Amino acid sequence: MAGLSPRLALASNTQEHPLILSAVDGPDGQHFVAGFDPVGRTRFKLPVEDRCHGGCQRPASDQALLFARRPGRHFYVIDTRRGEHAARVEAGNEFHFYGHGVFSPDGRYLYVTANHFPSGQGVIRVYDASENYRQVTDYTLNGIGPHELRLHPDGETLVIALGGIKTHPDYDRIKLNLDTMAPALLLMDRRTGTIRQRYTPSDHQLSCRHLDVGPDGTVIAGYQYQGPEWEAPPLIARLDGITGEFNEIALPEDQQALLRNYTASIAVHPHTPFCAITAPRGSRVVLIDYHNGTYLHSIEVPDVAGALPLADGQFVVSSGNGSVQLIHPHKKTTKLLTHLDLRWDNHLTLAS
Amino acid sequence: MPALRHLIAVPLFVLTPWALATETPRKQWLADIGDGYQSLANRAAELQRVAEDYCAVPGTDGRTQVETAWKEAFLDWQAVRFVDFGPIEQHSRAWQIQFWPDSKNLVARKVGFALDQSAITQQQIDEAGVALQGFPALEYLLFDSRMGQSEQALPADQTCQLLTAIAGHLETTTANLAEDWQHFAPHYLSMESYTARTVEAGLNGLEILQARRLAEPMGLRNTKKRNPYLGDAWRSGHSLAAIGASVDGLYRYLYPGLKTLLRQHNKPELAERLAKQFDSTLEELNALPDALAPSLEDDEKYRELQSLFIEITQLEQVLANRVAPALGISRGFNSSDGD
Repeated sequence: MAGLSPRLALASNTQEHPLILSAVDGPDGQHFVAGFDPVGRTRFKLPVEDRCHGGCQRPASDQALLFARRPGRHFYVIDTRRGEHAARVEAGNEFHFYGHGVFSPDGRYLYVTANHFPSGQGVIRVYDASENYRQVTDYTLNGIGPHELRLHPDGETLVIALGGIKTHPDYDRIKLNLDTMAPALLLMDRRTGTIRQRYTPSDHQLSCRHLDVGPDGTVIAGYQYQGPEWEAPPLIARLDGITGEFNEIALPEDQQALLRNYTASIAVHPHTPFCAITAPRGSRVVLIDYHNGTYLHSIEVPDVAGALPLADGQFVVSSGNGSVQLIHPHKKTTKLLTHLDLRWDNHLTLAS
Repeated sequence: MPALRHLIAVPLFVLTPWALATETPRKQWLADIGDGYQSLANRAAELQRVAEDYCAVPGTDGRTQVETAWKEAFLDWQAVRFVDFGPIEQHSRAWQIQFWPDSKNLVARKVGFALDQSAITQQQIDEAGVALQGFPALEYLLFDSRMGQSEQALPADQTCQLLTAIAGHLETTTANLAEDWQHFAPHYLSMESYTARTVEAGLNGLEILQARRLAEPMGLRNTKKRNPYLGDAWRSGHSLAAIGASVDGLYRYLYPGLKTLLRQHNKPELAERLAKQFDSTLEELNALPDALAPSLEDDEKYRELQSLFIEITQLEQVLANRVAPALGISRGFNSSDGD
């Protein structure tokens, strides 16, 4: 199953450069989906109506999806071969998306984190891509604010970061329940919607937002702390893929404070023990050994945004100031890949 | 709390040449913003007091006192509204104090709904949504013209209960804010990053002021239509007064620390330039009425708004294009959102 993951397909894809997608804003605030490759060439820049956030590739296809940013009411289907829009799919009456989705290994079913806003309940909306993205069912989460989700290498389990923050389109992005948040990291059976495990962060205001999964099933999740900014709780959680042990990784005190209680992209490398975590507010990329949860070092990258592992062992990271850089896990320096007059959003999406 | 506050405020009153030389921008901002918060908390307490008095013994004088107290507290809030870090971020306090913009008229809907309940308690308001907790909900009760002509108009029992409960919530929120700012002091002073963050807050505040609070109602953005309802506090006719208070607040609470910072960077001429721009912007504002609507309806008066818009744009540009780069401050794209 793991071989179907676009991430893992990367290693065998040496003939041609893979395509990397990102939501970007132009200098005048116009919104685009940009496609570029790891040598820094821009492949396309598609105008979209609103600022987008995360994305995912549909396995074994020329389609990739980009989701409108929370609260987003639709996602865009991009034809990655032509660099064109293929479709636009609505969240549906009474629903909005949180900006992330993932496919089943065969590329048929799409799972999207969504909010049923009259009830405030978080759901996974399931779409059948083979039927023009017909919405087929909703899995309820018994929780609020699911954000990023990924597929476990078993091909059957959805790993879901539940932010715990209630929002409503009437109130834009106002957080409506900061005192009663109940964030979690969830494991869900993708065929039945049954929640198999629910792991709880050490503080109810540690909003679990982003995550990535290694080939051994180890999950690294990133938090955004909603409590006082003068506190510095752990922001990285680790779920061991073998033992099922859940714990949090505290960084050295000075490092912990640098991150300003906010992590964005998590990128677990499929072939090496390294994981990169971006912290835009602190302008840092943190590198850890995700096999054992040890902190390695951090690198300063101003307004750092998305992160993605590359086949050669490096990570590519984007920045809100327009730069795209390469990071080697053993080096404390970055290498500039390209600089475009674009503001890169928090995530990079790999398409082949 | 008064004791702690006193300790922090002391250096301002004993400024010697030596103290001037050692005054740091963050110490100055800490004291200045703290003064702004304390004044807001005091005025909100006063508003609560006169609202209680008025509802106990309703009368024209009492009503005028409540309206005046609302305006003074509201304008105090406008002066410190630019601070978007620290304790104001806790519990969505900025939203609790002022739910804005309100494109769906939630304030009217929520107030209407609350007035149809059997009894209103302080606890209900404390647990209610932000549309029912702050200045706009009070403004609706005090100034909305339809509300004022309805059976529920003040001093109706139910409406008075709501008025005093919202004022009570505002008093508590602003008192906690002022107190938490003092607790925040060691953190603020120890973290170098707050220097840039404070300047960025001023810049963000000015940008919102220019683009959302002025350009949008003036019809200079998307819709191209003049629309006073897109401004602040249109029910009380205080949209321009609010803008004036915000610019004045930036001058009183942000500028002094910024001047020190620019001197440290050997850029006293930029501090001068900024001061001049503040002066001419405030002069323009002082010549304008409190309300925005009449100036939108009359082309002659609209020209006055246009020159205000130019002044504020220049102020924003001096800060964004001259001051911030000279201080090595560049703002992030992803740093400022919550996704």
